[in-house]
Amino acid sequence: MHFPPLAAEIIFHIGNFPITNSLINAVLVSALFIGFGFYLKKKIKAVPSGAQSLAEVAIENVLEYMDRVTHDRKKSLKFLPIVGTLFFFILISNWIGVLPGIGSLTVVAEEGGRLIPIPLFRPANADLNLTIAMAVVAVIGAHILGIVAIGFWKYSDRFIKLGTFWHSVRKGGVGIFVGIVEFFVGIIEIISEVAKVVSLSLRLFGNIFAGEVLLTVMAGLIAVLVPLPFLFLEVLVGFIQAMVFSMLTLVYLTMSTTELEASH
Amino acid sequence: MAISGLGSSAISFALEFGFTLALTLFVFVWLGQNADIKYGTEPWLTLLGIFLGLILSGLWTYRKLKAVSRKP
Repeated sequence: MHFPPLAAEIIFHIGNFPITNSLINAVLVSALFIGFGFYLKKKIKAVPSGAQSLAEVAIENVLEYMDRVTHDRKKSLKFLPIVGTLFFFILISNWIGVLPGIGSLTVVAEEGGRLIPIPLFRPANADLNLTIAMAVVAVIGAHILGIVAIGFWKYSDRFIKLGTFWHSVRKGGVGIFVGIVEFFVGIIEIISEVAKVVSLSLRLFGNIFAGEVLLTVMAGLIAVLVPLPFLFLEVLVGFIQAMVFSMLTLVYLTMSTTELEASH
Repeated sequence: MAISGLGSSAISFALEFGFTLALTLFVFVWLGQNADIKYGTEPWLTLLGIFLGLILSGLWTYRKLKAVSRKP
């Protein structure tokens, strides 16, 4: 039995650029969405039917769900391109990972000097590179939108609390001490931004990678009926993780674009 | 769903504060160790780093919890 290793495996090269099996999956999912988008654009009608009504129901539900976090339809519409894309991309790439053939179709490739069979497809989110990339885009996107929404100085005061520091120091006495503590707590705030990227990316990667290993092991032990409940579990995990990732991205976006009321 | 009831910022805090604590301690210990090697003061600056990291992350958690629990 070939267990999926932590890093995605290289299937072939284009020039110097290595094409891994998870990259193939990510490109497949993207192509699926782009194709679906063009198809919808061609077929769009005032009275929706078929694929168009499916897409409208999906978008409408996501928007309603986003309203509960943002409490503002305008903001929801503004964030929909980022959050919605992340949600549907993660959801569909997770669900595609459950399809037969993903992880079981193999090609023979050279690894460490000998020829071994490696899976042609690997769930896109079972690659830490992709999940880190998405998390970095989400967190940096939230910062950029935050700066645009409330201005650079006000926004940067959340992390490097020069304003709060100055106010506390002017009071004198204990105020100086409070100011220093405030300043250092602001530095922890910067570390917590890095923690956001780490937690977002590791959570998604860990869940999907573990699911892939679990399915491989179960299918290897007993191929009939036994993997079935685990496949259902993976469908559920795929949905939950897509929701958690996009919901957290939405929370970051909402938090960074709202002005904080003065604390204390 | 329950998310709107509980406060989404509380959930996001719950999901990532462990990472923040670990990273804070890691950063301060790393700084302390490097400073120890540079100035030959082992193990005092590392200990100071651990101490500072623990206190600051504790303070940060306290403030965040206060802010998060106040919001609806």
